[in-house]
Amino acid sequence: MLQEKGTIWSVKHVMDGVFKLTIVSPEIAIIAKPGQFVMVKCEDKHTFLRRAFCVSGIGIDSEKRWLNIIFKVIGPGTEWLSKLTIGDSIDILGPLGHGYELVKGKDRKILLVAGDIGVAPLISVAEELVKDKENMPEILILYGCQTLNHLCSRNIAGLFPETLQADSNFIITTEDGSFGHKGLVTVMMASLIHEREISQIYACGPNEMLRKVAIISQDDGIPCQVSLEERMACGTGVCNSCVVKVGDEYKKVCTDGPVFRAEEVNWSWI
Amino acid sequence: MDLSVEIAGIKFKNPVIAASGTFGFGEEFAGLIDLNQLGGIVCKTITKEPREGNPPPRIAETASGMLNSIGLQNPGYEVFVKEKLPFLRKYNANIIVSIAGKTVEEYGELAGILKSIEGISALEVNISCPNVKEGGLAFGTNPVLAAEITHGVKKNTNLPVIVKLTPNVTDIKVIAEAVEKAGADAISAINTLGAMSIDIYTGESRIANVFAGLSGPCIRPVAVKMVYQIYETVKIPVIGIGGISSWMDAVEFFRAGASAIQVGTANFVEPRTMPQIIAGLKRFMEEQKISDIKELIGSIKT
Repeated sequence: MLQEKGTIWSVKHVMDGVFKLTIVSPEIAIIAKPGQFVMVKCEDKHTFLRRAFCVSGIGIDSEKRWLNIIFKVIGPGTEWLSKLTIGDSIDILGPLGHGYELVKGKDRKILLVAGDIGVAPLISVAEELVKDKENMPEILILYGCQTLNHLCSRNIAGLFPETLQADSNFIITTEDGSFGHKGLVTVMMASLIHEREISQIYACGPNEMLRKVAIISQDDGIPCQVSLEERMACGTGVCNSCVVKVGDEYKKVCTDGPVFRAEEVNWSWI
Repeated sequence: MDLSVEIAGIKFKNPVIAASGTFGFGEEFAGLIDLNQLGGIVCKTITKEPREGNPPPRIAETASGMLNSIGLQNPGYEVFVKEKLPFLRKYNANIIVSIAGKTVEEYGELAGILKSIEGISALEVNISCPNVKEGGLAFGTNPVLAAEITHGVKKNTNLPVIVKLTPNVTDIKVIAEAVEKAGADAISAINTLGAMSIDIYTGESRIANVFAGLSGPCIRPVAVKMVYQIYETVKIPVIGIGGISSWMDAVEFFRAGASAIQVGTANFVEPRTMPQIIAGLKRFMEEQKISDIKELIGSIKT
């Protein structure tokens, strides 16, 4: 865990009420792994605690090392973040938590199941998976939300690495049918998991979605990892706030997670 | 420049201590700050049996602070002694073990169990836990029970005994006096303030347990008052706790009568708070031409 003063490289309004910040943060970016998160200090007087965001992209070029965070504006912290401009400083703690354990290999078929803003860490997963072009697995991205206006847009592909931006890599569902296939993303998942011969699943989204993802993956015997969320104060494992039940025990989302194997999580408790 | 203080026979190289429940067992922040710099670390409260803690949500943000209802989740004294204490002992900081019990007797029992364990500088007695026998009112709200617990712990240990007081009382002087009479070697104050918060849209309590403890900068003035009141009442040293997040806050507590301070909630927001306070105190003393920090203790002008 490091503490670093990052610099804002860009602020993009990605879709309705959703922003993407690219933060130049060399020390953290170089060690961050997909599925890990950072704790960000928001300098707004209506906030006190840091806010947790999954790393949604990590990059290195000749000039800089950066990480992205993608978030919805839902309160004073995210509001403050959405108003930052190029060159602003931002105090970050991270990278934190256990990320996704990635399996690579040309013969693998990976399914990413993203619900609404849960797409954020999966972008990082996709980036990592396509890095090794020789051993790149087949990747299918299943993205679902309630309606066209909720983070859901024809532009979702634009958030992912270029190599994956073909239509064939994406299946989009909306609950009200305003775009893509009508229905729940998990119904779509159940229908295609067999025919596509999926060998590994990575998911992130609302708990209800993850519960169903877990059931479907377990029924089919497909290894599945989910990223969970719970209110955090420290994000570093010292305060014991962010607990979820794994079996019979309380585990901390910030240090034991946020990524858990789907079959470990006590879904009946969640 | 002397930042050292002596409390109940324990020498602290500086008066800055990590508060219980806010610093884990030391490993988490080891990469970020040098634990050797700290005057002391109070570990998470341990109990005889492991405790699961309360269901989440356990915390909520408030104006300049936060609510918590963790529920004393801890692995129990056995795991603490075997797995956590060895790590803490590597560091050149006083290790203070916070203890709690479900009954008055359990406090004494736990003190006895820890008697021969090496590496512990003092015990901090957490009497803010609910007394289940008395409908859940904290032991620390009752001067008789607070004294009984203090006496029970003192009887069963050779270590200095610091009693941590709860502010949720009518008159903290009464409790302070009672624990001093019962043999406490020092008092730390304050623990969190009883509070709650309701989500205006769902109508639900934001904390699953409903009632929670308020901490952070918003409680500091309450803590300063109580530290001052305790300082005026007892002869034993007082350790100040409550919303300290800067060296200025620390100086305020010293003037109110604190011999040392603990930093809690601030560690979540800024893990480097304690080293920053130590550095800030040194600068303040240099500017003010104070050669010994003990000159500040109780230096309020009345």
